[in-house]
Amino acid sequence: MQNIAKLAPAAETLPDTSVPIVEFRNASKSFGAMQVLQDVDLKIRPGEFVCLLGPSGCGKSTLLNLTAGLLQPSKGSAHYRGEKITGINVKTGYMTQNDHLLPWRTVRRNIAVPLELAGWSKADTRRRTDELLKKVGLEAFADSYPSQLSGGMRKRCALARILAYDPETLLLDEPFGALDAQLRLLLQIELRNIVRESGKSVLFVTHDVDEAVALADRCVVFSARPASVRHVINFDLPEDRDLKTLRYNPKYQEECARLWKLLTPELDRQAALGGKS
Amino acid sequence: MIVILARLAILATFLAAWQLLSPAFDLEFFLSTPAQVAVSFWAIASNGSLFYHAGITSFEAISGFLLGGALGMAVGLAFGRYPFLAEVMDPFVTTFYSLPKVALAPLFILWFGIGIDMKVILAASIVFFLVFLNTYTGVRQVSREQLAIMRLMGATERQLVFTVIVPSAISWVFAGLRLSVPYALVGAIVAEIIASNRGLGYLLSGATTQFDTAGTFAAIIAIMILAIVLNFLVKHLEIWLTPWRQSAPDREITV
Repeated sequence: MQNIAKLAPAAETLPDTSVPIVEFRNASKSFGAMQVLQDVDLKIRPGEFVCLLGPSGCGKSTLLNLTAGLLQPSKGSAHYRGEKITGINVKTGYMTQNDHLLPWRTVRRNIAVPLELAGWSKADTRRRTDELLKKVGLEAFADSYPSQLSGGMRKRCALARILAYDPETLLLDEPFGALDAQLRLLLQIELRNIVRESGKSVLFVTHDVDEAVALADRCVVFSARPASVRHVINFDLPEDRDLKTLRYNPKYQEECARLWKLLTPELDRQAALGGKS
Repeated sequence: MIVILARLAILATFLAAWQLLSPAFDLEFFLSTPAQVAVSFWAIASNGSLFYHAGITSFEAISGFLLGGALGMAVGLAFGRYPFLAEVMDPFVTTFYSLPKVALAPLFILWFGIGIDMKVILAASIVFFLVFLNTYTGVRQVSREQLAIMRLMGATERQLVFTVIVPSAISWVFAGLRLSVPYALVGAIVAEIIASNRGLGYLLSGATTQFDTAGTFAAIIAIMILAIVLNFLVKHLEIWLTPWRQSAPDREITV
């Protein structure tokens, strides 16, 4: 943990793009007899927003778990900034479809969790949570409990909590999956803005083609289970794309169509495997 | 308003029927009458013995609840944290759980005498399992994902226990609180009926052995009132201690 912490400031002053922030080398993973990953070779550059796209249940989430150090590959290896990941990787922040807020804590105190864990003073925590509440637009709900919030607000709260401990890399596993289209768009815009401002790297798992094209700089298409890299696509869309009007951009439509074409054979194969199982 | 009137009407009808039918069928010895019960109740209330006995019973129930609750939480937490321990102990726990704890009362009398200790311990042994099971569920309820997310935030094992696991278990215990307190009262009263020289259970069995039906009903009413008061207190304690639970209905529901 400590040597990773030491690495971080050096990396900020001297951005070394030659060392990938996340790298999988021939990574395979099996759970018992079921193989979920097969020989995944992939490099993520620092500051990149990468979508991992594939049929549901193909094993994309396993890649996030490997990056977070929650799982170890059965074969091959996973690396973070050149170092092999062997345990919990605290440089990453994880957000899933379930927001995992603590129901007995108010919004403010939920956001403060990582700060408390890191031993921040009361005053600093207060100041930082104020900033974050403002950033995600939850100032008015600081003292509400998660059970009083709508789904979108809970997501915002979870997002603020991740930002509180400021991990270098965000691991997002269909974070907006359960939201309605408009809310999802708003949160996607917020996410992209925050990521662009802070220069964080993002691994974003989705099975939504439109979302992948809208958010990512690069998209990795996976095969049906066991997941292996099928295609890696760079999107030819501007950095400062406007997500609200993006859908009218012919280039966006082209990219979506291209991605769909690449994905459909895998969908069929996954369906033959028995869908979600 | 109509609801209240309807309730009062039912109550009045019931009391009137009792008052009139009991002497009419010559059942006063077994059923007494509301008037006699009221006199009896007033007698124990005005000479203060009601409050003395109720105080003893409340003390036993509340102490038993606290003792059983504390032990139940500790063991539930340990079992939840160390699945190996839980697996090893499972048949023993299940056996004891299945045993009606009241069956232990004679043994407790042998060990602890007929004083307050024995009542507290019987109440505690009943509450223990309720709180233990709630705590255990609470600890197991914390998802592995939740713990993983906390670890990624840099939480140590100790921090996990105090930030997530204990609060989660406690919120489950609070959920079981309203269930546990009446059971603590059951333990205390049953123990008093079996062997005692004070408490509402003693008042109850004392009146019965003297064929004092009115006194028996008066004691039952006193127990009812105590149960209502304890329930009321627990309900408000729960609202006060778990504000996040009460907040849920403020929001529109989505199905």
